[in-house]
Amino acid sequence: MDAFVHVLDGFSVSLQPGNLWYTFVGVLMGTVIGVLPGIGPSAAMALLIPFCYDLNATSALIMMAGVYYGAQYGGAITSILINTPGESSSVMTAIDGYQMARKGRAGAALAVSAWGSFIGGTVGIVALTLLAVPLTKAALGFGPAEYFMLMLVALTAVFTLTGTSPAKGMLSTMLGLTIATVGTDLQSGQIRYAFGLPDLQEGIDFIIVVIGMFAIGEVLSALEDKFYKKSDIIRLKGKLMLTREEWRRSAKPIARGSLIGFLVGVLPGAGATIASIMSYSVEKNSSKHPEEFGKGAIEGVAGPETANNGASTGSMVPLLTLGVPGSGSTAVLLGAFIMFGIQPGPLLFQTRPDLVWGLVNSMYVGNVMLLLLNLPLIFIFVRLLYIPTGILLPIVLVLSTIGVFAINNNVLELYLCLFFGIAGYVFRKVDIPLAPLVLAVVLGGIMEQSFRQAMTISSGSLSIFVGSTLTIGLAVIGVGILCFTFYGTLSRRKRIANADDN
Amino acid sequence: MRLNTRVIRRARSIALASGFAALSTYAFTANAQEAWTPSKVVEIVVGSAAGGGNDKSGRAIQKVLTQENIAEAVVLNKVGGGGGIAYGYVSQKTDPHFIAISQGGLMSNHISGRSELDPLTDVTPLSYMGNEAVAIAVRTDSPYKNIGELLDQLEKDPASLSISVGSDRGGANHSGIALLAKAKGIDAKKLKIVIFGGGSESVTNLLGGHIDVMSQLQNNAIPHHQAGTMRILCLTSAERAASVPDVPTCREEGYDVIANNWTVVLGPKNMTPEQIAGWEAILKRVSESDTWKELMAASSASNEYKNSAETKEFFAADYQRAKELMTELGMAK
Repeated sequence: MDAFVHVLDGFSVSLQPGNLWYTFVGVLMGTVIGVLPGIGPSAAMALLIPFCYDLNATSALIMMAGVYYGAQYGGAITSILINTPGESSSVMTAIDGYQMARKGRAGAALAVSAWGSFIGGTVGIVALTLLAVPLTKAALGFGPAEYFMLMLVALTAVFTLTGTSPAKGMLSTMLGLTIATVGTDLQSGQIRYAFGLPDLQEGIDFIIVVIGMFAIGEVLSALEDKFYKKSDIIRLKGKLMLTREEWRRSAKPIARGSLIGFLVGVLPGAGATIASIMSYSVEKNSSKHPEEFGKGAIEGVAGPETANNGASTGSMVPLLTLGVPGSGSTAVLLGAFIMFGIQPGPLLFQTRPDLVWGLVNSMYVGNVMLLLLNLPLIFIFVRLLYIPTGILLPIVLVLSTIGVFAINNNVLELYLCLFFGIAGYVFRKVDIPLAPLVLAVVLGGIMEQSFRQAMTISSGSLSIFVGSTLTIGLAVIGVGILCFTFYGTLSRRKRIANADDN
Repeated sequence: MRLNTRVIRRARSIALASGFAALSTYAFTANAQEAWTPSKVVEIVVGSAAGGGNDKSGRAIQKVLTQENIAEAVVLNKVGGGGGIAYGYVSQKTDPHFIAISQGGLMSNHISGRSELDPLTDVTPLSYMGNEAVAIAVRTDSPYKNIGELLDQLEKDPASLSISVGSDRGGANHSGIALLAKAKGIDAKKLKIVIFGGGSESVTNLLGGHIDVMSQLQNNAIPHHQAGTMRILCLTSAERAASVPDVPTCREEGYDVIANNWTVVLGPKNMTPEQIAGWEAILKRVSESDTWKELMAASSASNEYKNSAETKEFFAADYQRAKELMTELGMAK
């Protein structure tokens, strides 16, 4: 009962006109930042900190949280329109979202992202309100061994799901894992593949790889199309927003995505990214038309976009209940708590219920604002498709360069980005999927470190990987995905062979 | 109306920060004739990403400089080489408007051979701004009720317990448990040390029962000790912490161990005595400000100030101490 009163009190905090204004400023900034490739929500939030000194802690945190989940909405826009995911959690969106845009359904893809994000986010907040404490307990069950198995399953899902053949997907994954080993090894303190350059000692930032492979690679290949072949791109076709049929196809992916997103998002680490992968995997495997995935299936946009927004809410759970940030952006939020002299931790719900519930409830309001903001913006964003190539490509290049340079103010990283751009162009030429490589760069580091942590804890015994119900469950899922894929490949080959015979 | 002035002030501080340095000729009142004062935008270089580690210290200093009209300042995050890129960047400047926030990694990077930058000759220590002790913590349901019982177990079998030191291999966290082991006569190299991405990962893994002990800067453990989910066995500080008065120091428990992570503000290699004195005055003012005190209190750190000469002496001693320990752990080059 007491808790219920606190929740209601939270609404009175979040609905104060001042706080409504800061929610609006936050989500608006988030949307803008989400659209710019490279400049992620965490950098934006950190830049906001000095401007928050004059505010009270609750208003400041409400605004910063707005930037955080607002950016998740914006992240889909560049994935869909120019095939450049701004964060790792939008990589899966780019696969089908960009193909939809090429078929004239950019408006529908953007609309389903906005609706999916709204529903995923809102379901996430309800779950956060009701289940924060039990979910925290469940998340603590994930130790190094469980994390390793989770990463293994996620990467298996990625390479089996994307592209034309599992072999090419696996190649792409392996290259990504290799890139992930660059830098200082946490366990031994050894520096690997840095070639004496201090700039490489912390590894290669995911943003550099993603902007290179996706944005620069896309620019190069668009340039080639421009000169050597006629474009088969249809800018806009049919209804701008969702048709009745598209709504019908998206409903279940959105429902499932909300659930997956929140549950996986609670795990500290790479929650939102894993959630988007899992959702894509579930949708493709449960679809009656798996062959449409990768060619512009709306389910492939609806599911992951819902899941990553659900997850961004989910990652607030460990932050609020334990004082542990679940992602880079929530780490900045944690920093902001400390700047305001608030000690985040397990007692926060008791000591500052006004702040916790004010913040949580502002997210309901923020999500409504984001939906109302993003739906009309679609009319503007689709105009991007009509910008002539000769103007659009340089704009993409400039934004990408600024985005990469903004991370660490480092020139070497610009060269690296160019290198990945050329690699991305080659990958497109030989038809190797990009997503597995990029996601392996994000997840590979955690995967390797978890493996080694688990091995240290078990004193070198592999039995730790089948030592708990969770690890066994994850192993079963992984093997299941592999069997499913090879069965699918075999039966497809058989069908093709039969067709040839006939 | 309030909002309008705020917006204007923000716009102004953005304009200033982005290079209209001439506007920011705020005179620094004390010793206005002799002491050096910043005459343009100060760059506070931080070796961790926005929001993490000493970024908070950097932004607190920025806040005080701006609010007290000492100078306009920007925070520049130069991540890489365990802080090495940030230190190297400031070290080579010939302009005193660049400062870096440094921590223990400055020593261990050089000792392990990861960085060429010699902390004793390549930078100018300007002021020592505080430090934070290490807490040795277990879960509340752990069989070890005090540090003595834990060390007895480690004496029987040094590799029987998994101990997390966060990401701080060879740093303050690691030295906390290693020095305790040494005091008990245990070979610290034989301990089963697990490295995680940082303090928060140690916390979740300890709470989840995946590791047995964590040796971690005290701000990680204190909230959980207060909530009754963790038990801090001892703190590696000289005095008890005000926020957890029930927790003894390791010294009180009979192990004479002091380990902490300090925060020192550095300037470029070559600075004039006037410039050093100017920064000392500014940083002293920062350390006495409410902003800095609040930050120190919220992260359970102790607010201790040393001037440039004292910090230099401290550096020499700390380098020696870190080198001895890292040699014993087999981590010195």
